[in-house]
Amino acid sequence: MGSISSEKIMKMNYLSWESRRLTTKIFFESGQGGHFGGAFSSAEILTVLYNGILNIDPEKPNWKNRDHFILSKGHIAGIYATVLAIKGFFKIEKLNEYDQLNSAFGMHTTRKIPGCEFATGSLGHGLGVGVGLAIAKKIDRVNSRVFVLIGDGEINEGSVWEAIMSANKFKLDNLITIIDRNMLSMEGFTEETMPLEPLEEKWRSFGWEVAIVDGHNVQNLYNVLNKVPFKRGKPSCIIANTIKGKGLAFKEGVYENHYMSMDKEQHNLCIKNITREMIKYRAMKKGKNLHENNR
Amino acid sequence: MKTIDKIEFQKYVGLKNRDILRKVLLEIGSSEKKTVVLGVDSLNSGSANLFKEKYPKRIFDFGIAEANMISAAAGFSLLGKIPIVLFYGFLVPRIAEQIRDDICYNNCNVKMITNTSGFNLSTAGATHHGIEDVSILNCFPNLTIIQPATPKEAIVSVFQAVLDYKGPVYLRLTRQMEEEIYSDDQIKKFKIGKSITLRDGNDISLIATGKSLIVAEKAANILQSKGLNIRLIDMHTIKPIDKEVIIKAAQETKGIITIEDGNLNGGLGSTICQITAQFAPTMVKMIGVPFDKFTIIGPSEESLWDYYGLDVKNIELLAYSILQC
Repeated sequence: MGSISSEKIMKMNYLSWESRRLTTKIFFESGQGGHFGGAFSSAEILTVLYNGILNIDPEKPNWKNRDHFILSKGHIAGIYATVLAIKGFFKIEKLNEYDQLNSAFGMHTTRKIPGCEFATGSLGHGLGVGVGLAIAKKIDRVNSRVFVLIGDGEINEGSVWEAIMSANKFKLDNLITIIDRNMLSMEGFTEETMPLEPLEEKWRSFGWEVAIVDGHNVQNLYNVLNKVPFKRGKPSCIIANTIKGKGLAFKEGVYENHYMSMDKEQHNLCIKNITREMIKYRAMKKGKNLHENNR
Repeated sequence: MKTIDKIEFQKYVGLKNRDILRKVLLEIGSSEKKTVVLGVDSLNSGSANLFKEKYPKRIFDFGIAEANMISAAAGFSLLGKIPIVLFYGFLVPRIAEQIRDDICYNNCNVKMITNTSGFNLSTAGATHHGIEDVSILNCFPNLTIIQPATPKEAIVSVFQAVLDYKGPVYLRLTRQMEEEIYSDDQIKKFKIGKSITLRDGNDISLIATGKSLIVAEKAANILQSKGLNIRLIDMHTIKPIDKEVIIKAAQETKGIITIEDGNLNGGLGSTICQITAQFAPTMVKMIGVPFDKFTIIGPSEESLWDYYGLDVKNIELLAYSILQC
C-alpha cells in the first residue's frame, strides 16, 4: 500500500457522511430508531477500512486471500450495512429491508448481510474471533490481515482481555484492533462507568503496539492503518479518538445518543447537517480536480 | 470408503478411559490436516498430549480463559479449519454465550469435546460436576449433542463428528469408560442422530444416554430374567433426538424409563417427555440428577450414581411401578 491521492481522501470523507445519511434514513424510516451514537463515531473508521485499507473484492467476497473484518461492536450493524452497500456488496435499495421481518439487516450483524464475515451483537466476542482467524492465517501462511473494530465500553468485558493476552502469546502481527474511543457507553462516561485509562499503557503492557489517531480525520486514519503491523511479531492497536454521535446536529457527544429515535423535525435537521458536509467534501473534491487541472 | 469403515478397532484394544480419546485425536490429526486442537490449560488432561507431540503446530493453549478459546475456535473455522476444542463439561455455563453466539448462531464447524462430565470429579463438589451442560446446550439451534456409551461408540462418534459431519457438535465423553457392549459390526452402523435399539421388547422401554446405558443394560438383563420384555435404546445423540423411535417406544410399550447422569431439567428425560406428551402420551419415569438442588460431594463417581439412583435397583423399581399402573 502506498500513498493516496487527496481526491481519494475527499471521496472517503464524502462517503463517511453518505453512510451517516443512509443510516439516518434507515433508522428513521424503520420507525424504530437506532444506535446513532456509536454508528456515527465509527463512520470514518469503517469507510476508510472498506475504501482504502481492506484487500477485498465485492465481486469475489469469499476470495481466500482477502483481509477479514470483524465488527465486534455489532450494534452498529446499520451503518456497517450502509458501508458494505456503498462498497458494492449489494444494492443500496436493499437497505430498505432494515428492521423488516426476517431481514438480513437489523440492530446487530447477521450472516445474511452480503460481505459480513461474522454475526455479532453481544459485546466482547469479536476480538477472540479475530485471534482465531489470525492464527489460522498464520498456519496457512496466508499473507492477509484481520481487522477488528471494538467499542471502548466493550473493553470492560473480561473476554476482551483474554483475547488481548492471547494475541500477544501467539505473536499475531496480522491482527489489528481499532478501538472506537468515543468515551461514552450506553449510560455515561466510560471513566465513570468503569475506568479504562491509561488505555494505551494497558494495551502496551499486554504486548501490543499502539497508535493514537483522530478517528474522524480520514487522512490520518488512512496513514496509520496503512502502517500496520507497527512491529513485526506484535499485534497492532489503534485507539481512534472519536465523538459519539459525530454529525448529529442537536445531540453530538452525549451518551443519550447511544440509542435514540428522531421526530421529523430532528430528522430534517440531521439530514441538513449531513448534507452540508457532503456538499463541502464534494466541492473540495471538485476544487481539487480543478486545481490539479489548472496546473 | 467411509470414515467409519476405516476405523481399526484393534488399535484401541486394551485402551480405556482417556487413553481412547488420546489415540483417536492422534489418528484424526493424521487423517485430516485441517484439524486443530484448542485447550485451556487442559491439553493433557483433555487427552491431546499425543496430538501435541506429533502436531505441535496445530495445537493451541489459550490458558485458563475459556470464553476466548470458544470465540477463537469460531475464527479458526472461518478459514476452513476444523477446531477440536477441549474443556471440562462443568464449564459450559461459563461459556454458554460464546457457544450460542459464536459457534451456533454462526453455524461454525467446531467440535467441542469434554472427557470430564457428570460426576467424574466426584470429590470436587457442585462447582466441578458437569451436570447442567446438556440442559443448557439443548436449546441452542444448529448444535448437535452426542454422548457415547462405550469405548467403541466413543471412537466412532468422535471420528464421525469431526470428519464426516459439518456443523457444531458437543461430544460428552466421560473419564471412566471401560465396559463394551458393541461388536465391531454393530458399531459400524452408528449414525449421528439415529438411536440404536439393542433389544426390542414390548413391556418397558429403557432409554439411556452415555455410560448410563451400561446400567440400563444390566437392569434389562435382570428384568428379562424375571420375565419382562425390555426395549433397550441407546440414545447417543441427544440433539437432534431420534423422535420416531421415541414415539414408537411410547406406542408399543407400557411406559418409558430414561437414565442420564445429568440434570433432569432439560436433559434427555425432559426431551423425551416433551415428545411423548405431544405425540404419544405415556408414562415416563426419569432417572437423573434432580433439579433445584446442588449436587453433593461423594468419595467416588459410583457413590454419587448410587446416591442419585442411577442404578439397576431403581430401574427395576420404576419398571414395576409402571406395570402396576
